[in-house]
Amino acid sequence: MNFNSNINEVSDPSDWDNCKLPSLSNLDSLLRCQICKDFLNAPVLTNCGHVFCSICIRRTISNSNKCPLCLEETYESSLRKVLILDNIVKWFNNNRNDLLKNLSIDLVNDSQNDSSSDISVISELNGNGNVNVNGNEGKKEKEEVQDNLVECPICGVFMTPDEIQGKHIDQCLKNPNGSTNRNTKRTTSRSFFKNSSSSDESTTPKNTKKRQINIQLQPNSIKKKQRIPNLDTSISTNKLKEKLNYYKLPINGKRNELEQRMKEFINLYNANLDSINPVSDISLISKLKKWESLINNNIHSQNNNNIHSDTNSNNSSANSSPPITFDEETIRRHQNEHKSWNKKNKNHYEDLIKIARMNMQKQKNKQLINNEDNNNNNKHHIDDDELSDIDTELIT
Amino acid sequence: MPPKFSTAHKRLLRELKEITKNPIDGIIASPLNDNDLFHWRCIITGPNDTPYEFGIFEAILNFPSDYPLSPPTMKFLTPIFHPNIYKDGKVCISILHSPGNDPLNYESADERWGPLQSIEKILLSVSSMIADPNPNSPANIDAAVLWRNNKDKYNETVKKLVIDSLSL
Repeated sequence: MNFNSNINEVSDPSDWDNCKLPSLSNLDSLLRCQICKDFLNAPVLTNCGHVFCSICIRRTISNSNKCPLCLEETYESSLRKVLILDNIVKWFNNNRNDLLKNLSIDLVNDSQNDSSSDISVISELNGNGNVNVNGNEGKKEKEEVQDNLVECPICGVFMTPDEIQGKHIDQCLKNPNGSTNRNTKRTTSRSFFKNSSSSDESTTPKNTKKRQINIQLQPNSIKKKQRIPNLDTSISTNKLKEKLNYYKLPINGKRNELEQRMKEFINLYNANLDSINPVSDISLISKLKKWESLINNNIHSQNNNNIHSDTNSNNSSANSSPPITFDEETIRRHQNEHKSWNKKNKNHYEDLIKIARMNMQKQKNKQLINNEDNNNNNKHHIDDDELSDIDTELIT
Repeated sequence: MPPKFSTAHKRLLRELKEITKNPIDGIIASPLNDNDLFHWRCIITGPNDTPYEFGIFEAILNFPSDYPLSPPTMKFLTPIFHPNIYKDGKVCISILHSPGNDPLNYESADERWGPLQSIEKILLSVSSMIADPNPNSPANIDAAVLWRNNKDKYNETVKKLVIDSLSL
């Protein structure tokens, strides 16, 4: 697994830095959870007014009951979901790439060239061969909207106030499906905010009349589920196992592993209830498994490290399993490499230092000479001044 | 292999991206190798106008699997004489302490580790700690005593070690 290949896959507010509207990075960072730095997933509101991903704040609170931002006491029971924000984040996340493409500076420069190259550039960016000519017009539309255009209350098209008050409003009232040239031209640009797949349909004026408001304010759950209450850590191991069994979770492992598993499942389960699109219990269980394997992996690798450093100190290098992670042995190897490199190149370094010292001295000598010259010059100047003084005296 | 994108993994990847885009003056930080985001190597240069000036200090940051809920640990590989750094290189600083384990309440809760802290903040704090030691919770008692009682000798010791560590 090489992270260099996926470093550009993670989105970041700085992605907007080189686009036409760099201030969008503010919006981008506002829609992110401060804990995981990712886009808010099932956002919840705390008592103190801060918003985090449901799962992030639940995990944090199960460590200590404090809001990480203001350190005010925060309890699980006081968390409330914010559905509208969930919608906003989802919209932004879904349209982020399109927005970035349409606002990128390269594209703007290209759009000043002839239109044929435009199309090729855009289709290249789309990557799937879908020629999206509309993206370009969408930009023009945006620019014009900034010039104080008004939206027609009937067909929703942007135009100057004079145009609306003049002919357009009458035409629109007579024929709400309005098929003036102006309309068709404008409506294509609306697809800027829609997926490229729907852009072809939206070129017909009929679709533009209905504004697609895709806001879902009811979660997708069929049955109303109750939240699982917090785990009482004083219950007996048997009861804990019963509880795990009830939610169809594995019951192997030590007591603290069972507790951790139950706690994480409660967090996942309750966070899932805050989501606008909750997933099934089965996928929650698979999430839990992933989480657990990750934790175990890390513990094992740490143990490996310890074993390695132990064997290293005992000078018994019979261990065959190669360490995956960085351990003390490699650190030492690095240091030894440093030392041998230093020894190898000692002469070279010394030569360099000598040269540097020589240069320093040369510079100093030069400075001294310069200073002397300056002094001499100054003396000359003074002489000249004195002479001129004498001259002026003589003249007077 | 852990799953490709755990919370910790994603978060570290983002921090790496940010730190490469907006590097901090005098500090370099990056993962040790391409396959492992949980172990970072960083290089901090000695702050100006301190005896540590011109020093180049290499350190290792180890991240737990539940990062950012738990703090990473930091260890200097370069020998460094400082009241808040143990002789084996481990760093003792409030930002790396989770808010649970401080019975004596030396440090206020807002300087402690929280999920909103970041690698950048840790490295900046360590850099300013090098410049301004905190004598209240010494990790290297010899250094702390010398720092309090004999600044000149302290400065001399530090400088000597800096020159030694540069192997000049």
